[in-house]
Amino acid sequence: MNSSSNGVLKLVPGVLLLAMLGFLGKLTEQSITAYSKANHVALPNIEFVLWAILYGLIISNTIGIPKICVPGVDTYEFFLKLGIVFLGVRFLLGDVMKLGSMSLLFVAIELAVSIALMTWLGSRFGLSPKLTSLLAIGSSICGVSAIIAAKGAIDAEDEDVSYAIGAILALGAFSLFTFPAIGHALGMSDRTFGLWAGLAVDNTAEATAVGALYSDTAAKFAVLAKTTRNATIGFVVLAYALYWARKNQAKQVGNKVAFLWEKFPKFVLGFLLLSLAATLGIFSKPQTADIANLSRWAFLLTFAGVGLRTNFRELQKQGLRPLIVGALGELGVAVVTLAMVYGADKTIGF
Amino acid sequence: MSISRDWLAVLIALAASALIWLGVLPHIPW
Repeated sequence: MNSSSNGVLKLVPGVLLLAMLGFLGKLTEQSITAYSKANHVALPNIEFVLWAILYGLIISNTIGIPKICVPGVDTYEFFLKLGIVFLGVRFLLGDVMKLGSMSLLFVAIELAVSIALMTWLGSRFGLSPKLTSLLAIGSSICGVSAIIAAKGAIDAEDEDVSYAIGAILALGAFSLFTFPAIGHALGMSDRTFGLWAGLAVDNTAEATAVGALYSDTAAKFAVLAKTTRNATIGFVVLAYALYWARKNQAKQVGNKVAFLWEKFPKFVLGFLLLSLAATLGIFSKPQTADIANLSRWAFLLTFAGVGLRTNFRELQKQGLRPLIVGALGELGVAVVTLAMVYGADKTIGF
Repeated sequence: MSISRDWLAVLIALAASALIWLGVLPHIPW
């Protein structure tokens, strides 16, 4: 009991830092909006998301995250999952099924393109086959957590894991600044942009942030597409585990169903449960709004964490070749997924 | 590791939603 309460206490400073930076980001956006209204000047509307990330980036790249805050800052992924479960309340189950199955089709194409592209690029650039597998898994499904899930399953080297994670994180940071600009340049709808962000940006936190930078609605669809992608994690990791086991370079997989269940992101179930509750009309309108607001608050902490976790010096230390392979692969995936959602929007509309 | 955190996120979110439904939690502004 004592050790577990100590463990929770250790998280407090970092969680407070996340909350403070996130809230500061929100205050900054509100202050600028109020100032431009009061003084009748047109200032660019910069979303709280970007401010929260920027404040995090400034701290992590100048003074660094204070040691006492490190354990708590790592909880930003937990808040991301919490936010996603709460977000379920904003979806009717029918929409989840409809958009989810459409996303699933896109995800299947995205998986094939990204795995094929990464495998080809990896061999062209002479990366080790296991590093190539990690990059393919990271770029096709859900970035860091997929790479970590795959690490044990394919017996990858620690160094390869950190290269792959570094490459995925560097590219995620890059997408924060490029994707919204491309979306605006193409005049994409919130829904199309959100689906694209969810399909093309690897890490769930960054995908949500990219969506939120565009609009609240875009964030909603980015999360839906990304969650669909995350749900496939077990199948892709299982396929790679079986591949490396057949080559006798990883341990054999025992019960495949147990393996799939173990790798399945359980928060997806929470998301579906709340969406089911919303579909059944269990919550009143104000209650739904309150739960949706809890989701926004949880994401606010996540966005501060995205900034805090991005350290440019650390990213520079990563190998150049994995980064180039990752960047070229991501570029290919971004173009293909953009063509898919843009084409589908223009032809069948959704 | 991540599994237990996943379940914890689900539990907390469901509990908070239940409290909102019961009217125990106050209005959550944004």
